[in-house]
Amino acid sequence: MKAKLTLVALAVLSANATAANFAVPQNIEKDYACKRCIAPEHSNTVGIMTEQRTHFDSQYGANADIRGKNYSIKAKNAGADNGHLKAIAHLGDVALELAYVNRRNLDDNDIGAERQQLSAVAKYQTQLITAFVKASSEDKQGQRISSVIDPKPTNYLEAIDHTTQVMNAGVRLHGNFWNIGLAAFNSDFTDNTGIDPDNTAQQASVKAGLNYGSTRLSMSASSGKMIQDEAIEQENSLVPIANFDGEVETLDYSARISSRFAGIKVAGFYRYSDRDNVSGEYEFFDAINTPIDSSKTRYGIDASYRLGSAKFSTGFEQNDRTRSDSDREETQENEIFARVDYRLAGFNSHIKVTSGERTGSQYRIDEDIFEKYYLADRDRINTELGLGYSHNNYGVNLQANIASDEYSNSSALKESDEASVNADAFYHFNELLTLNAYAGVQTIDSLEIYNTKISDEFTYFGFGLNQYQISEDIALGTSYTFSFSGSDTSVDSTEMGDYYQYQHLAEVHMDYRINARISTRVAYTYERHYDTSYANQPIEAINSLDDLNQNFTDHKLGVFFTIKL
Amino acid sequence: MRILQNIGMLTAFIAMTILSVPSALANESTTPLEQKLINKFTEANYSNKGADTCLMCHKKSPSVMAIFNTPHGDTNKGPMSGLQCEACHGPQGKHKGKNEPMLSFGDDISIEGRNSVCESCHTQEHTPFHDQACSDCHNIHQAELAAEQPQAQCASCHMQQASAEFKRSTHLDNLTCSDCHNPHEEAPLSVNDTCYSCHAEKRGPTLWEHSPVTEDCTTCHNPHGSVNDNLLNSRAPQLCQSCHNQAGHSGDIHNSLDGFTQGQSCMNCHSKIHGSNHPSGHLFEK
Repeated sequence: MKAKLTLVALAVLSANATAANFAVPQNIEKDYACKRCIAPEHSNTVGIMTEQRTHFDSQYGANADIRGKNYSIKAKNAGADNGHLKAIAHLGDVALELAYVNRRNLDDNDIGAERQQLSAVAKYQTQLITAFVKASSEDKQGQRISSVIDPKPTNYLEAIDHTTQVMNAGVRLHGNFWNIGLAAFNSDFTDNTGIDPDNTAQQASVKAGLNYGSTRLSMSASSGKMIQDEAIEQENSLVPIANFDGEVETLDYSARISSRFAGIKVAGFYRYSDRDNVSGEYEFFDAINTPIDSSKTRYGIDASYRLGSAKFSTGFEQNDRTRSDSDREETQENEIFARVDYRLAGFNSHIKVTSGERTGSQYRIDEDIFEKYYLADRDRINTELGLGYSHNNYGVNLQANIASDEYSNSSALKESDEASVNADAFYHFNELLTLNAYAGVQTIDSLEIYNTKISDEFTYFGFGLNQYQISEDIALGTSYTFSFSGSDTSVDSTEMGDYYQYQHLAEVHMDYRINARISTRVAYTYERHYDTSYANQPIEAINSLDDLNQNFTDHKLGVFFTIKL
Repeated sequence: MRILQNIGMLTAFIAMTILSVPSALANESTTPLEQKLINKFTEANYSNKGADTCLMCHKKSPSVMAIFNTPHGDTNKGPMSGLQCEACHGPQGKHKGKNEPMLSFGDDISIEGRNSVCESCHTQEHTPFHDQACSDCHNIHQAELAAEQPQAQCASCHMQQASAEFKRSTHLDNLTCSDCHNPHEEAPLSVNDTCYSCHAEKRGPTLWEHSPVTEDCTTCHNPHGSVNDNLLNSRAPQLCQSCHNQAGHSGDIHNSLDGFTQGQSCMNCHSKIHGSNHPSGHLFEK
């Protein structure tokens, strides 16, 4: 036994004593002439695109990829939904950037929002210093569902018309083994409809990093304010204030140190976040408003050790929270994990097991009231398994997760179990043709009091075939994805109705090079979308919106022209 | 479920340990390729003409030449102003004619070995560090890849989060991972600050605050995606009932078509659930 231990000890020592170090040598000076170090000529291109759709609005946009000696312009579907445009000019160590981004997310019932953001950045960068100033303005417009009691609950569509303006500035000094930076931002939010109260926020932060040998230290601290001083509706003469004068002060700091010695990698971190609501407390007709203070502390340590082709890791984390004016003002959560990684040639695998427990201070609730799920005692266990294999022209990956949360007997949520499997694979038929495929399934089963069972299910699968070159000028590609999201609820063994969504998305495209300068892409996309909810049925007790289900088929034909300049 | 997990865990650990012990006992301090490279680094036999020597053969490869369109290809600063290709790929030695290998950042070099090159100049690492090689996410010879397809790199490890792209509601339809996450920095403990950068209207503070809203948006929402609308962890009234089972509606079991299950469920009345600024809004009804 003694001899065996010594053998293992020897193997361990020798396995890790000489971790390969290929650091760039600093003491070798070469003055190469470099005749062949010439960047391949960039092909400047411009283009236009259009997408004609049977169910949605048609799109028109511009594309560009232009790079000069001191500037670059990049546009992707600019002018169309979810398009963007960016222009950068370089003047010595200074760079100026202008950008426009569109993000549109409206469903078939026109519920959602479209964001349009304009930003300008000035950046100064040398070996020692990086400084920047950024200004951005974002308009968000659309509509959302709201409700009012008038006299019975009445759902209605409410306009969204928001503007958020942000100024950021920062400076960072970086040496060979250290860096330190200061940054600040101011953000102003305005609701042009006057529904949500306007607010502002400011934050100043400092960050620093230090490398000493194989030890890294990083630290950050920030202090901020969130202010809301909107006028309060004077519904009667008893309202004690004209404006809210609300203010939250925030303080955050964090530190992380990691080091590697004798084959062991050790890391420790500490983070703290405090939200101090210094707004006033007033006696209103119905109740007294109580500003909520909260704080979070999180710290932990983890270590990993490599033994040949295997690596063993373990760690511990503590996550404590406090909040005022709550059923439970303190919660403490601890978590430990163990992980083994194994890699050999093209094969890699890992298994990770995490176990956590949450407890906390005394509840301040009556005996017939159930505990809120996010405050209740909870035991959590999570197991993750990963397997992968890749070769020159094919590869496959699989990840599986099983997680289980068990809450205390007096919690409103009793338990929640989750299982998921995700897999993907690729195969290179040749240099020009690659097949990739992906699939996954996830289930989450939860149990609440009154024997309420909720079963969530998510399934998807699909493939892509890219890029089949049928001649020098013509290439084809195709993809298909199916996804299903569903949630079944039964309350005290009564089944609630349908609540699911599915989508088929198929695409086929052809790239055709008309001549040396002009090329085109024609793409056809088929989308079948179905979304239903039992909550959309009209009933006498409330005035709900008309049919919110979604059931459509869309055919999209896209044409793209690209011209080399 | 828990017993199954425990059995699975135990079996997997035994299997992994059995797999790993032979490789440890094989006394491989470094891979054979790594040992050759260590010897080459010790000999430090660098070329006389730098990159020009390498490009005599490699100039035909577009992926090699692409480096000159990236910051690492700037001949006035960085590696290309020093030992050039050999700064990262090691001394040429007798490589010409494939007589000796060069450092190529493949799986046959240990992660520590690969990262030791990058760490010569860069101080960042994936935080928290899970034993990744920098080259797992960064393709040094292609400047555009990381910006164009950031999801692809993240998804190779974070498959479950990335798959949320296909869920009923998701943030991944027109956001990329890096819009919310910085993989080189400590994740902020005040997760709400990240959400407020796009949802400034939720920042408040409001006259009447809903405690879990101010504490942590993820109490009710899954930011990657959900099978429920609005990224909710479960739909109302079940979501609300996981905290408020008898709050003012004592004894109600909501299993029929009524005002508690239809339309906006609990939000038919409590529509200002993220906080209210109305003097009579203490129940988030106005």
